[in-house]
Amino acid sequence: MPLATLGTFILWMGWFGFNGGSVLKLGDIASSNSVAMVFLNTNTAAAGGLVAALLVSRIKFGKADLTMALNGALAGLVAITAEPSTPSALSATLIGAVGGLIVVFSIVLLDKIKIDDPVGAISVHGVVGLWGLLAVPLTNSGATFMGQITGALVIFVWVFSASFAVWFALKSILGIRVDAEEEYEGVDLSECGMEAYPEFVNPS
Amino acid sequence: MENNIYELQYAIDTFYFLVCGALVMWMAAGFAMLEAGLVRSKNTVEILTKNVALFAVSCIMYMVCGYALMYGGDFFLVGIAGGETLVSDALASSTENGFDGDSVYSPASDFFFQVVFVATAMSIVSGAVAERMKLWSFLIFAVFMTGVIYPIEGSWT
Repeated sequence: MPLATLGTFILWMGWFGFNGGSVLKLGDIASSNSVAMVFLNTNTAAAGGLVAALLVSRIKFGKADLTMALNGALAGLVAITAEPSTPSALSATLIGAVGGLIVVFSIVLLDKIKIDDPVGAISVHGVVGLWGLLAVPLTNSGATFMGQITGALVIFVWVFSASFAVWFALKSILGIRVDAEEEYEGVDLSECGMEAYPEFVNPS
Repeated sequence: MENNIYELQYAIDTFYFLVCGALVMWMAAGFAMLEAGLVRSKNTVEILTKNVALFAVSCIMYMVCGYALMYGGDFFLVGIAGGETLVSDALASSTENGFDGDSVYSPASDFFFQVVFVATAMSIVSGAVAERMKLWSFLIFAVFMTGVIYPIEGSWT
């Protein structure tokens, strides 16, 4: 858990570069003010996502689930990334909070319908990313819901079909799934030949 | 020409706030790892949860009312992005201050720089009550500390 927490903090900080740099210009008053708003909104969306996910997990599971809180912060960051410059501070917090809310339910739902996603990547990036895209027209009058949906669909269809072709080829030539036995033993030994924590006592 | 220099000066002073703010934000990660390393291992997840949650609560409460109480302005940072007259106002203010006067910078960058200090202050509290305090009571205290107590004290200076 300390590594997961540190990883989240690293991503949180790195995201200032990710979104702030995407303004592409800093050298005048309007651009630098815009970069400052992007920093502010990126930070506050992550905070909103974290608090929302923590509260939902407290209500839903009865405990403050740290993994959900961390995923909530990342969800807030993902949600604001589609449009970090036009929302007000409060809107950015709410966009992040809705992201944090969605990610908890999405992770639970994917578990329920038995879709295997050990780190919640589909929920954090896919589902919340879609929410972020759809939230753009709420604060940016230059975007429309239909435009956002069309864009998301086009991207999904292209990436899904192109990736499917590559995965299909890989599956026929090399195979993609590790053996059941390797999976049980963990892929550290079978693929890399070493353990991450060799001195830990293994109860199995 | 003078206005161009003022534009650049505004940009670089804003950028300085943002970069240093991001470095101070990183102190939250440092405190989280420090405290997680110092407590007995049975208290690790709770101290980590406190540290990430206090950072988020600080950012939200300072946005909601803390910054307004400390420096004036509106709750929820309404209007912090600046309106149509952002550029002309900033240039007028730069001209008044001259090259040797106070720096003129983006209000949003000032908020960002200030809010990470609030979170740092709250991290210190979490260290002081590590292994001892209930999680939710701590977070409720964080709401008051970062939304009211710290900002009122800050407004005295």
